[in-house]
Amino acid sequence: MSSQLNVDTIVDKAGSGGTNVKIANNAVTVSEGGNATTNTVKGLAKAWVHFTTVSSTAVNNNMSFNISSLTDVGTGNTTCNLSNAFTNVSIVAHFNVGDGANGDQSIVQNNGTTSTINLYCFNGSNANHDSSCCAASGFGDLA
Amino acid sequence: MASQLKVDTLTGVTTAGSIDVTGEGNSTTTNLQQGLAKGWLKFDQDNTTADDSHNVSSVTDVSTGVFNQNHSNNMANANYSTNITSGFYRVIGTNREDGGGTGVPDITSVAYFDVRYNSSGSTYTNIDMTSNTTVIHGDLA
Repeated sequence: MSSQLNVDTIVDKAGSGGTNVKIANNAVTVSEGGNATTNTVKGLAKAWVHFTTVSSTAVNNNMSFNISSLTDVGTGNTTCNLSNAFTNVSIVAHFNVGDGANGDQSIVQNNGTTSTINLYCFNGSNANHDSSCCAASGFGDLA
Repeated sequence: MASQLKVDTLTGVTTAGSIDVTGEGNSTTTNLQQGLAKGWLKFDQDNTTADDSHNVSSVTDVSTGVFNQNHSNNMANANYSTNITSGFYRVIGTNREDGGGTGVPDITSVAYFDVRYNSSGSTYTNIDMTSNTTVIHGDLA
């Protein structure tokens, strides 16, 4: 028998926040329009990070989620190492760079692994380029 | 002691499609429905195969460098956010073939949107990319 919970706010048992709330991977949420449901867990970003590759490759202001470390592969080339791996190598990854004054462009290249995402940044002359403002995210199914 | 609530559907009391979740800093709430990605896709247009997807009923290969992503559940309106990235590049002559900044939504409707990729450099020729990733955010119908 299916069940339905009507609730306005979800917090943890202690009532202080939501950090201990767990949602099963088959839970659905009623859509904004009320006419459909969408899978809650599939809709969550499974990883994100804001980082710089100028001088040294580092996460900016601890702004990351599900990222264990960043590897400086070379100029403009960074590998994101994930804390929790995906179920398959088809990670839906996105990457954008912010200092567009250099005509920066960004490219994601899956490494063929479930636990890493390879990112490239190029300048307007198609040369590998380090950027101070890099943002990446990953969607898909976690293992 | 940890508690576990088993439920199949989360529905708001005041508004069915609106549930607040307490933020990480415990001082604000964020809307659960609004924060969910309403669809994502990894698509190889070179071989016309969808590697993985969510809320995608089908992908239509329209023409070289152009494809439609058709939604299983429609969006409430056409003004939703699309994020498109290419996962492949190669340099041919003076052109670099990639989607960085050139994968754009041409047409957006409640049921689908068009993605167009072209090469960088001087010619901007439409090209089939082997790895396209898209994520959409907005309101479902």
